Amino acid sequence: MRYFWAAFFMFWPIVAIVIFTISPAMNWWFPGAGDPDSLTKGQSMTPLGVDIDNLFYLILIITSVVFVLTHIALGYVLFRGARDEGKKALFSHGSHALEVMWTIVPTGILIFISLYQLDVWRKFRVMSSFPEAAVEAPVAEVTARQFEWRIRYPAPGKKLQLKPQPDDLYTVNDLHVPTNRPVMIQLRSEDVQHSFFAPQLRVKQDALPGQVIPVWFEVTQAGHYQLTCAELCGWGHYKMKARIVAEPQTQFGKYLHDLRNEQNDDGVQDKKSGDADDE
Amino acid sequence: MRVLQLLILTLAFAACLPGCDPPESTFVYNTKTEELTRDVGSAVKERLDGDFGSPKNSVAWLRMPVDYGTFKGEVVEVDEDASSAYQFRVKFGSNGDEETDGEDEEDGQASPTPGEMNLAGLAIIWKSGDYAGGSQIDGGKRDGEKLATLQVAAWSKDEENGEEGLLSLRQLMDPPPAVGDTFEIVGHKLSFGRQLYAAHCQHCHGTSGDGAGPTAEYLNPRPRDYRPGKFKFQSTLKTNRPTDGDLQRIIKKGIPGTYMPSFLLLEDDEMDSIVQYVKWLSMRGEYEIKLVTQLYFDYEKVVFDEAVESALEDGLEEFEDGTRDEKPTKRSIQDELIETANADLPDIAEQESNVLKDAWTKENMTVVVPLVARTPDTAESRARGRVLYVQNCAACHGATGRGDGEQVNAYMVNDQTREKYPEPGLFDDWGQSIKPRNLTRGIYRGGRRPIDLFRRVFEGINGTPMPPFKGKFDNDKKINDARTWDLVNYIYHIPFESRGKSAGDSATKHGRTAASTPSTR
Repeated sequence: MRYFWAAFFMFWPIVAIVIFTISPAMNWWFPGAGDPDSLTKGQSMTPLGVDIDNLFYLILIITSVVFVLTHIALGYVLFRGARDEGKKALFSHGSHALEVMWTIVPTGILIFISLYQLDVWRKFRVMSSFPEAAVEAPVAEVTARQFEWRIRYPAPGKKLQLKPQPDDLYTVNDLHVPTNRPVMIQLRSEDVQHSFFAPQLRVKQDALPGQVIPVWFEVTQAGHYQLTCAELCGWGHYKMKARIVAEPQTQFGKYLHDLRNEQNDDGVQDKKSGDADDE
Repeated sequence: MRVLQLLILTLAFAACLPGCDPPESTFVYNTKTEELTRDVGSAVKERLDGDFGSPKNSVAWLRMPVDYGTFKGEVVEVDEDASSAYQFRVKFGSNGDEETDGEDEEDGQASPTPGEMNLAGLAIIWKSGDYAGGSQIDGGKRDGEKLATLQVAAWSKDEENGEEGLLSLRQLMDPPPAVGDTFEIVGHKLSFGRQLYAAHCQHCHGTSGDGAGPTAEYLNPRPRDYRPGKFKFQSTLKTNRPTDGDLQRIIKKGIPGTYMPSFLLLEDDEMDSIVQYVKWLSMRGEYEIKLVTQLYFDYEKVVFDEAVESALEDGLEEFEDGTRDEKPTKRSIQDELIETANADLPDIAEQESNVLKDAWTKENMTVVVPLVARTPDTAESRARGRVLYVQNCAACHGATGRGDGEQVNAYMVNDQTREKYPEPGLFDDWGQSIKPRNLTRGIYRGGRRPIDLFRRVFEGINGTPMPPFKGKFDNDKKINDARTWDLVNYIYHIPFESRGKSAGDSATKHGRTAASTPSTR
């Protein structure tokens, strides 16, 4: 039992390193990592998301190194104390130089991180830095409500207005966006606080009642992505799962066109769009 | 001491692992069923449980037009020496050449195979061989349609060939089935639908579909009670039931303005199974209501006791006159009356289940299709619609469409009790206070397609004070439909009208001017 605490503190850095090593294969990493059939394979499907991932990795590396080193140091001290039984402990009022060091070094690291991430933050959050094409023509308005995502597109060829227009197109839980160009959505909430979270796209933004919050992203690969609510919003929070369908511009245009036909279905003219009625 | 602490902690942790057993899930009976005199009430309950079972052990009553889900199979190998069998090898999918039953829906399509599905508890009916028709194993069967007799215990698929595998039953088959006997395993959609219903719907709509799940009391409007068989948003006539497509549409799209969310991401088979389960649940509820309604008049507790009293007096008189041999007692009169009820019940059940079956049969539903296409959305059309609106709709929905017509302040008469409601305003058939829709908000619960609005106006909304307006606008059916479209065009315009301009003058340019000035961010 003499070396228990030394072993205890040496144990955790080993666990940490093992977990870091195996987690991609165990699918404990970003969504889709370790799954060969996955669309994303753990990679971000937006360019900005790659930058965010890099920030994440940077912080992970810094904290891991610090964690492992401090634990090894701690373990070593405990080991020495346990081994050299009977040796008198050194009494000290502290070392001024040492204290200055361990204040300045972390401060430096934190300042570095905060400055280094500013660029990504600006691109993600500051509207004047959003890609112009995305800001000019927001693709849709997404309204979170208990417990679903209601989506309003402008009619094909028109611009999204803040207030609903007679020819707007509506869907629910199904956000279609074109790929390979920056798109912006206007995020609102109808009732309480929600959070627009697309894990595979590395987008997360709270939706606040009374505010219209612009969110932009650019999906590089066509496919279906998850959209969930990341803010506990009530008893039905878990029901708020939706999908983001990224598709090439032509298909997106066709989708809006079909949506318009469906929405203008008068039961007479266009039999095809009378979809589920006669099943 | 430390050891003791550790022990207690370990034990406490171990106790948390199994947790408590969840309460047994049961169907609740209607309040009116509970108001029947005891013996008649329990006869009704017994009948209901026999026909529909319990949540955990639901019965696929074949009479009802529900797609319970069927797997067709064939016995391919039986242990030859055995005189009886629990287990035999079967093959699913393409079975036999003769499907001459005539009732099979999907001709030419490969029959589905169960794959990895858990078939435990599902019913098996024999289609050929000694057991065909179910005559030999007739356990709980009442009318040859019920399927609660032979149950599958387990199904294990072969590794290499997904269609073949070992099927075991819960009951012994003596003698064993012959090789080549065909059978159907029925009810997988019902049991799958029940699981999904429990996960997604039950906490609001309730185990019995009575709209009284644990979260229901926090919701306004209340979740739908399926039991009366009334569904608000359907494509069919007001008196019809909704089609499967209607139910699917509501589940997929949700109901904006209410707590019914969209379940768009359900897979097709999940959606299908949920719809079948909801239909089945609604049939169960309505069947109960129908049985009780037939008996309520004579066998409600108080009425029944009075009837027993008066029959006893009559009987005693008859006994004194000599027209009756035995001296009647209260007990004997009671027994007599209850016996009549019990004798009537099978007929009532037969009759009411047929009514129900017809109601839910697709062929008996008429989908509302306008006779003319939507009138182009012009200022003239809207102006005509506005006139109709003021004449027909404004009393409830208000002159400006805010849902504040004068009826909101009037005292309405309850259709069922013929009494005035204690509070002013409108009430639906479920007894809940209901507001005429505020049409200025642009939220359309039953869907926002023109055809949806047309159907709401044309057929009204089932279970609510919204009446059908078919034929109200003109005697000529085509003209009537054209005028309905005028009204629909106007209704679409109401949210934009309230932004300061009236129907006429903003109509031509509403899309750009009246609405497109972005307000402050």
